[in-house]
Amino acid sequence: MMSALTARISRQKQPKPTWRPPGASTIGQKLAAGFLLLVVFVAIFAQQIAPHDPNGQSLARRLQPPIWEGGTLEFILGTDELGRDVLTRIMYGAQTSISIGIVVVLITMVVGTTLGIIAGYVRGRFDTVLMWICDVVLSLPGLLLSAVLVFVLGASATTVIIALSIEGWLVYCRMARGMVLTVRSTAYIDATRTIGTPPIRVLVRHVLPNIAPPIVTLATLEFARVVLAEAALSFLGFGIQPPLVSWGLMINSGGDYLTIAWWLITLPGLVLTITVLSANVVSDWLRQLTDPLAQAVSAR
Amino acid sequence: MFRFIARRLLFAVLVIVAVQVIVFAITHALGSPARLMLPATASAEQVALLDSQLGYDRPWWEQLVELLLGSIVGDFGTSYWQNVPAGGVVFSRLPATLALVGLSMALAIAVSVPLGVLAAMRRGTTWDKTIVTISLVGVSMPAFWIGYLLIILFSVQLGWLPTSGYGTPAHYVLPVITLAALPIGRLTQIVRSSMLGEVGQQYMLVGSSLGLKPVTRIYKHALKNASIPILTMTGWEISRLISGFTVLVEVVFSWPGIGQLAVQAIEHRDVPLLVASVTVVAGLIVVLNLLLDVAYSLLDPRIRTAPTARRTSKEKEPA
Repeated sequence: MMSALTARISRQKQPKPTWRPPGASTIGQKLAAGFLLLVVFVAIFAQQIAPHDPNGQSLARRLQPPIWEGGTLEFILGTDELGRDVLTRIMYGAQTSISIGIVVVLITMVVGTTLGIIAGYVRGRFDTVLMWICDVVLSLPGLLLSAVLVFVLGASATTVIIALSIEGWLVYCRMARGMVLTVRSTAYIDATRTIGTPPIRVLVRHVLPNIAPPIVTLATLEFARVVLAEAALSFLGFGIQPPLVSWGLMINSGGDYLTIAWWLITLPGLVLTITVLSANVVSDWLRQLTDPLAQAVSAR
Repeated sequence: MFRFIARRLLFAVLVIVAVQVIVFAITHALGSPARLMLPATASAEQVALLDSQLGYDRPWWEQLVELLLGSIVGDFGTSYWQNVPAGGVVFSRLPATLALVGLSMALAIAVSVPLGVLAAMRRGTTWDKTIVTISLVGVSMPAFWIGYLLIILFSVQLGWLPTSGYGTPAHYVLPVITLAALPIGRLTQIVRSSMLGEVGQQYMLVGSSLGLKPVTRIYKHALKNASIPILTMTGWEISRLISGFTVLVEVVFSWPGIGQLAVQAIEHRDVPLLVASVTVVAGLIVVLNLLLDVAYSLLDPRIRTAPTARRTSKEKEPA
């Protein structure tokens, strides 16, 4: 009686959402996935499709505005303080962001998931110590420690990858451990162990496939975070160094010209924001695809 | 209750010690910090001279013990760049950072709670979709970029507000908005989802059958029950701001806080000042987490017996 009433009232209050088949994507999700593919394509083929040399300087053509502000067709998005083409640099910046993002996500995902699976399956002292380390690392000032690390080791793409990997693995570790704790007590794992399957095989063949989808979803979310973190480090001057190009670095050097050349900051930041936004949207989509419960929640 | 607080206090001390050991290990990784503080062209004699001046030629454990003991009383040695006690420099920057973080979080809560409630109450409508989209954009924008956009719009184009600096109330407007953007996005999502969990509950129906106004039901009863996850995320957001985003915003707006100081310490290759500022930032985060833990245990007695309860809520929103 009560629940029927609740249902009736909540039906009155809430507009009924349109039903979508499981896994169907919205326009926003399609756009997001499309944009990510575009950025990856540009990153791979930047050398071939970029109209100019990313470090080709010419003071004669410095600070040219984008085409819709009276610029020329040759430099569609304008030029920076050294006369370098902004469009070309955004394309090469995509190369940096995407490659660092993918490398860091792969390293942290493999290391974190492996440690998490072992901790959740073996338990005992290994688990205790690992979770304690996770608690400590979680309480550390991440950006500052990354900056200190880059300061000591010298700024380069490699040190950025090291610094971002050190703080990135623990989310996978905790997630994998939590899910393994649930999976290991299921009947099919007991059954596999009863017939004498070696632990490694149990983990790889039976545990891993069951925890993989949420881990992959987390990885896309982490990709967004890593791309932002790389831009932040490069912006502070502790990341990618010239002649390499990075969106964060472009925003940094544009900061000195924000009164006269707004496009130097706005355009790379816009591409960065849309990339991160797209990764967030795609991550949410993957979660809906792989998690029936989330599907029910989002359809409500 | 006492045992719970004692356990959290012990953990807090352990984290601060861990931070110092890590920073110590990193700065001593290449032999002596003097090598970092001098230009690469410095001769071995110059490095040795600075080593003996700053005491870096002693055994490493002696230096580490000195650092740990000194930090208890706020003594981090002398700043190489400013030639005054490093601890004093850091603590003089503390009020600016705390004011910035405090105001930003106040703004974030004031904006995100009504937005999240509205989205949850009008679930599936255009209101809801717009608010969800705004919050998603909010969490995707880099803080330093928002800062520059606001400067271009309000300082350069319109000329309403100062571009950077510190002092008058007008100086606060842009940095506070910039720093609040990210927590606004994230808190709105949390308020929305925790409110969605409450509106279907039977006590809401009872309230309505008793003739309570929707405003009373929503703000007095549902929001109160939804407040623990919201409080958790608020605390989590404050530590995220202190541990990273404040640094970026302070650099963009030349805000004289600890984050900018840490960046300047690196630029001036000032190791004692760097160690001091990183330790104080870590200390802030730890104290904050400690206060939050105590606050939860007062709000929800169940947490006292399960010290790791907060972990689950953190996992939902990975860093």
